[in-house]
Amino acid sequence: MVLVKDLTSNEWQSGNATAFEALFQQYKNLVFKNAYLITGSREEAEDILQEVFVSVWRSRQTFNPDKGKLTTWLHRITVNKCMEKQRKKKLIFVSLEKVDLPQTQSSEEVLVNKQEYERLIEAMNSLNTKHRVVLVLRYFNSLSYEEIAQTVGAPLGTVKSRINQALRLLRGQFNTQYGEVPG
Amino acid sequence: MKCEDIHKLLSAYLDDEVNPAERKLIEDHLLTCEKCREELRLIASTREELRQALSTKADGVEPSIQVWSSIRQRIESKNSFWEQFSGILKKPVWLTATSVILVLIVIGALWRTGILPDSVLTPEKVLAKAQTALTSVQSYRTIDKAYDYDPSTKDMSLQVYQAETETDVTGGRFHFKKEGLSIGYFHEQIGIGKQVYTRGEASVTSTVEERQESTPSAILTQKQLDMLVKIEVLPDENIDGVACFHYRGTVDTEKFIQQQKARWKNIFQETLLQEFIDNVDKTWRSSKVTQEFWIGKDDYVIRQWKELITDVTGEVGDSAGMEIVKYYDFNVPIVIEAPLDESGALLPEWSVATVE
Repeated sequence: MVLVKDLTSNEWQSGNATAFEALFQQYKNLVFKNAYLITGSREEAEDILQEVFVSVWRSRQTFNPDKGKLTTWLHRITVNKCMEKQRKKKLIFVSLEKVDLPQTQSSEEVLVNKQEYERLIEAMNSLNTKHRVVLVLRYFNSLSYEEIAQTVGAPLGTVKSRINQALRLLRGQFNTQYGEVPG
Repeated sequence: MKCEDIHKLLSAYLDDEVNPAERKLIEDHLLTCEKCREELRLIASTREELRQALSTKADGVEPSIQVWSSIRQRIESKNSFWEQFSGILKKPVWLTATSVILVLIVIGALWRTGILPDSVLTPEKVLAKAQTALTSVQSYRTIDKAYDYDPSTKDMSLQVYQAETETDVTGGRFHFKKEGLSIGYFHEQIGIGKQVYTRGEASVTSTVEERQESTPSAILTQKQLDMLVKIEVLPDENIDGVACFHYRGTVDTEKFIQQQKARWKNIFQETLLQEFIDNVDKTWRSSKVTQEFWIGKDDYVIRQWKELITDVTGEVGDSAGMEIVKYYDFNVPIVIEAPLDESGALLPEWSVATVE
């Protein structure tokens, strides 16, 4: 496989399919995991992964590496696709992915932690997409608020209050569902 | 500062995203407020727990290996039918003004010599009047919808994109928004003179060209109308309460292919040209393209345009496409402003470029 670092960035941008495949291989997990955490569904995350890279290919000439990082661009497209997917669903009830615990656990402690994490993720999935997006960008990708603002196209102040609101809503939702505070 | 105001800043405080003044306010407040210290503890534990939960949830999940082959298939077949050929029937922008002026001169001369009596309104005459009527249009809005064949309904009901335009002709301003519905993208442009403000997934030049392709002056150029081999008269129809002449023309495939080859030769790099020309030939020789026009009976202003692509026999199938552009709000005041805040700075997401 050709690695992205061996290719100049403009090779995939000028339509080199091999370079584009290398780009896909390098960033597929990043995009997939973000889409998975935002949507809560593997199936949707695979659809979004596909849509993101088709979109990257089609708009490849519009990406300017001097103006921003490739990952920021990928995050922005991923978030847009997730929001788009959500808009399409509109009022259709979205079933949350059920707790998917491994069959074998090495210790009871791991099981307890995992169950708690799953509950927290379930609580997060009940928030709206805008809140899920900022939580995933901040607490999974560790993006700065400024980078999140660039990704979601909102002012810094909005990002700040949205993250704060999302965390408080998450805690409230968790308490409502399980009657306890994580941590 | 009230506790509620402090609460709003606590997650940013923990994320080290507050300024020094805010930090001091928060820390001073926490020293004296047990309630806010408890809130801080809860937010801190929630975010730490969430960090762990997200990392655990995403650990080891990977997309299936089929995803790349699906992507490859899609990028190799270029775009959906309409994405590939959207706008293909329209001509380069530089011809628009020239054609309209030439047509006006010819029509004016014919009228003066009495060769073209006004009493017999053939479709050709009406379409020529529609070209003239455009000179009185100072502003207008459009909605442009493109559809692909939907295998589930077996008709042209799969909407691919929707574009909306506001144009202030006299002020040299436009506002264009396009949303891709099947692949999910969005772009928006505001043009004020030579300044073009953009956000979303598009380059400045491609979108300017795209926007101009569905303007009434681009739809009604003489070169465009010359490609119609026959024009049928259909029953009059009302569009937005306005009685309209309704015509349908069939596009001459050979003329069209020659025109497109000449056009794309200027646009594409040599390496891509042959591939594209092969596609133009292959696709269009097996297709039939018709265009319909709705022209106001009183003012001759175009109200709607529709293009339908079917296979040669007129059947709608996998390779079919349809675009409908509706024109309205003629000469109403349209205010188009640059996306700037009060201090004159660009709003987030937007960029600006100068076009010639």
